[in-house]
Amino acid sequence: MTATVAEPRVSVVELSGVTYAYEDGRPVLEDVRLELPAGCFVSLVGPNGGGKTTLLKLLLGLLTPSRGIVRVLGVAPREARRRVGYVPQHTRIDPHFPATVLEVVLLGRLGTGRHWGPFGRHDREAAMAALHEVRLDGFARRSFAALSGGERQRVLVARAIVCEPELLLLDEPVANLDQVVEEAFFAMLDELGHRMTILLVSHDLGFVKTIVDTVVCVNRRVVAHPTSAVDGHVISELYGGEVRLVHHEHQVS
Amino acid sequence: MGEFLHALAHHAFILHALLAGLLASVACGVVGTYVVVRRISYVAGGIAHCLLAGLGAARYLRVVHGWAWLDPLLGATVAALLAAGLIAVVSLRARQREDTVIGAVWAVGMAVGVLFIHLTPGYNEDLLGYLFGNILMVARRDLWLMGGLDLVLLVFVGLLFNQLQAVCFDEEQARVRGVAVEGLYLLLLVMTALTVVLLVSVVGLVMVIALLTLPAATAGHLTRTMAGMMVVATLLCAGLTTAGLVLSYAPNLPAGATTIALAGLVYFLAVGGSRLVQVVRRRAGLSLGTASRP
Repeated sequence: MTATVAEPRVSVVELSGVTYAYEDGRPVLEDVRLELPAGCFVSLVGPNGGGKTTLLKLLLGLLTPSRGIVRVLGVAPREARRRVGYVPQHTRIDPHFPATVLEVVLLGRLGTGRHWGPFGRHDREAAMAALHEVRLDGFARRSFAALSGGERQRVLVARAIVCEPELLLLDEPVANLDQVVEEAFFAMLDELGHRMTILLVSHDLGFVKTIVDTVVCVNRRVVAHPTSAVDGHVISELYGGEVRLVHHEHQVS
Repeated sequence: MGEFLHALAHHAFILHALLAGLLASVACGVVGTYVVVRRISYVAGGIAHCLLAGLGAARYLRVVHGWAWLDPLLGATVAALLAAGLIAVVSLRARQREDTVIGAVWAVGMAVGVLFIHLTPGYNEDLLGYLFGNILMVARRDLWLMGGLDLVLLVFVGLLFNQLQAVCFDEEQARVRGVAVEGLYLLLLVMTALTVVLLVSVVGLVMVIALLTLPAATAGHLTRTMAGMMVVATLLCAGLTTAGLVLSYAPNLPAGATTIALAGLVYFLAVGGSRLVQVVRRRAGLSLGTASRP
């Protein structure tokens, strides 16, 4: 099964015949073929356990495929890591961690300079610029633990983009956010999408459809669709049952 | 207090005890912060209880085989480092069985220690000191050892603070950024092991986890950064060990147990105080919200 979005641009992500199985031998992903061009804004959708997070971890080089080849930005995932930004699921982050917002963002600069000692002035300037980009000016000295869920997610995005990545991966970044905060969050991502490729895992297709140009359906196998081609039938097939598609009446500005 | 100050002026062992408490506080504040933030107090507990195997084996070899050069603390250090290495490997390679393996290391370490104690003829008074602490027995050589260890810890933490913070905050992202997560985790456990050995003289291995975690956990309620936690935890620990020594001296109470009782009291006061502040702030926020309604 091949899923290709035809664009005459350089591929940012290439998966060819990729299969991944955990220790029990059960394949989470099977014979995945996917090619995504530079500059696209992609949403990965699919049921829980369908392999979305596994796919992201393969792209990050945190997992090695049982079979097949993964290439990110034209090289092996481990070699591309420093050109990739990553926002993990919110459940992985301790919301009470003792750090200021600036300290958290600066952690995204690791691997860009020297391997020891404190961060330099250039790192701090980059962190302040990243905070500006996620609309958190004036938050640098605040405690990470004192932020709201939406602000915390923005800090994690700032941490991911502070190394100026070419590819940004986000794993369910709006899972714990209310609708208003979610809308503002996607507006911010929409702006970032103008200068980097974005792959976003999200269950809220209604929201995501307004900003992404490609929807990749992941359920052990992978199929990519232009956003306009995603309808109730596609979603029903993906989730394996009757699904109600709700259209949100709003605009990302 | 007057009696303590008089003793401090006239007896070197009291001064040594005071300095031991202060030197141990540095390691306790720095490493304790990592233990609390990284949530590895159970790991530290496993390492601490393995010490008994090293203490028991060293004493057995001294008494039965005449290895007079083998200091029980050296045996404890070897046992702690072995336990740290074993737990690190299991934690990194087989996460799903981590708690079981730590529990096994904890129990087997204690059991081996008890067996060696049983096989060693004579009265094991010094081992009781290691179990429950005897800060008054700290020698000048131990103080140099503690100072040296503090220095090594501070150098490592100074150089690798950001990397260690990244591993504590989000291990996966740290890995993505090219941080040597596994090496740093092993380093963290080695630092924990050495700190536990150092604290054994102060409060004993039974209570070492309390001194490693309570000041840092209390500091977590009072400050908002890891560096701040380290400083506050060090000061708290210094205050607690000194207060424990002072308060226990006149009534001839065990200094280690007095220190831990105080640490527990301060911790519960900090938890209660921070809850109270939260409630007051929430109520103030609610009443402001109500007042602003038309």
